[in-house]
Amino acid sequence: MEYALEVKGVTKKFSEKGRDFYALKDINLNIKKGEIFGLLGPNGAGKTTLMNTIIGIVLPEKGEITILGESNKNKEVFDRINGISAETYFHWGLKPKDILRFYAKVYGIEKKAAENRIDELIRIFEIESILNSKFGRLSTGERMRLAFAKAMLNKPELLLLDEPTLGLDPHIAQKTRKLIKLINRHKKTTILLTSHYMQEVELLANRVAFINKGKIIDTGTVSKVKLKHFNTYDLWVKPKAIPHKNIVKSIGFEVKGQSLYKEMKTKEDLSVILAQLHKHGIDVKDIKVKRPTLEDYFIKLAEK
Amino acid sequence: MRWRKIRSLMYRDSLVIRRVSFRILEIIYFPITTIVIWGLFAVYARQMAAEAGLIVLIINIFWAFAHLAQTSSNVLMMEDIWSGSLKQVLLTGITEFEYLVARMLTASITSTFMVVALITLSLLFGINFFQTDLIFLILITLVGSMALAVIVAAMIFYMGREYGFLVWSAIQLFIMFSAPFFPKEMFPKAILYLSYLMPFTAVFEAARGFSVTGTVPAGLLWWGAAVVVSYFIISWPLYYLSFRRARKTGMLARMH
Repeated sequence: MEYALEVKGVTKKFSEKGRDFYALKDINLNIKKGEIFGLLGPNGAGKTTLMNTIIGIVLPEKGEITILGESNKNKEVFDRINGISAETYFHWGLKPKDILRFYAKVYGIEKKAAENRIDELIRIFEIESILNSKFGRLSTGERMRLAFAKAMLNKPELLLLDEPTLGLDPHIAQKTRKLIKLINRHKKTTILLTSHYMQEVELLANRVAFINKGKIIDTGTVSKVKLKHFNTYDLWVKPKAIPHKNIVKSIGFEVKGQSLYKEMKTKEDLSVILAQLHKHGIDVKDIKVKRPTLEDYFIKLAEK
Repeated sequence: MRWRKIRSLMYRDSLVIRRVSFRILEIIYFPITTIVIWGLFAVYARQMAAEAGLIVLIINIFWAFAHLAQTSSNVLMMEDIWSGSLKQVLLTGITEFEYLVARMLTASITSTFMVVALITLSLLFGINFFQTDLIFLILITLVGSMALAVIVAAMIFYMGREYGFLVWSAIQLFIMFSAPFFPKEMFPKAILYLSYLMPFTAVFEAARGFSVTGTVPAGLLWWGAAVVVSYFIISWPLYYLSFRRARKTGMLARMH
């Protein structure tokens, strides 16, 4: 299978105050064409260093990076990819069209085609109202929309998104997520997305990798990773009246406040449990099921 | 006007001056170099009062040209760093060579336009600098400035964005040791030898000679050309090495 991105044995060491530390340690990743791949990890885990290594801004000690079948040392391949981060800035004195025209020129898009493409992107990313404003005067949300427009100029086959929703208002972050989905679905663009927002990645990514202290700890589909680490989930039952503690104990529950709690095995059947409650004369007012999220996995990971 | 706010800002400024070493350098460096240059000129002008005005004019033109050509190349680069857009530019696959060459070409065009404007304006004072020899001197100055732009870029990538002040300050040192308004022989011996290796010594000497005789000795043109071409050749490996080091140490990523 040809991958959109292959990272093989990448190791990066930095020195700080005479002390060496590994920012990346033997990183191996394969990202399939057309998928959204989430790279998750806490701050300082190595996500941005890996992104910077992929684009060649950081030089690794060891390892190889292949983008769309070409080594990342081959600068020609960069015409086929694009990327943005939470810290995507352009020159403060330029207007959106100046910026888009500059990048269109860099990507070698012919003048007429570039103008059509720019007009199309202005419509898609709803930046008509800011065309007369200089970049320095744009709000965070407007900057992000412009950044996305720039990122789509060259119709990239691989899009690198480094914490694209960091610091955005919730509604702008939500819009951004929709844009990411749209780009992936309609343009079949492969996306590598780094984030420390678990829900975001869970919502968007087909597969994820967890990175912590420069090491990939886990890789797989979201459901597989969850199943691998969580074979239980929480069940909260609110009865009309709290039954006798012996009854509660006999059906494997425990009393927590005004509710009954049970740690359920993933394979356990909920209807069987409900039947059991009914059998013991427990009238149920409300049921809550809390399945583990990637967030829980992340917390578990951080505790290790 | 709220004095409390002003005082708070002044306090912050004093902290910045104490904490950021280059601020001290700026405060001491520019006054000292300026005094040395003009002081030596004052001594020289006592002997050559007649052509002094013309010399001041032509040297100022070359000085301004050299300064503009180098600083505008580097300021264009620094603006990418300051605005945080360097990473976006590099993401397009632009190489470090293309990146700097583009800036050098832009700066060459703008500064050549400026020098032509200055020489044209000199005609208003009855002074005609439009001579073939001077065009060669302008070319030599341009190559020297571009070589310095590459060296300054190398230094910034090596040391980090906080050394951006080198964009304006580095050339002043080279100009001072290039003996702009006075013969290099006025320097003490050790500095005299250093002056032979400066990129603009031959340019300034030739320009002063032109003010007096109306011609430029070919020897000076060759010497000037040889020095700036050497600078140019040496500057690029330095730039490549420091750019590579910036990628290795993470400096480039921190610059944005």
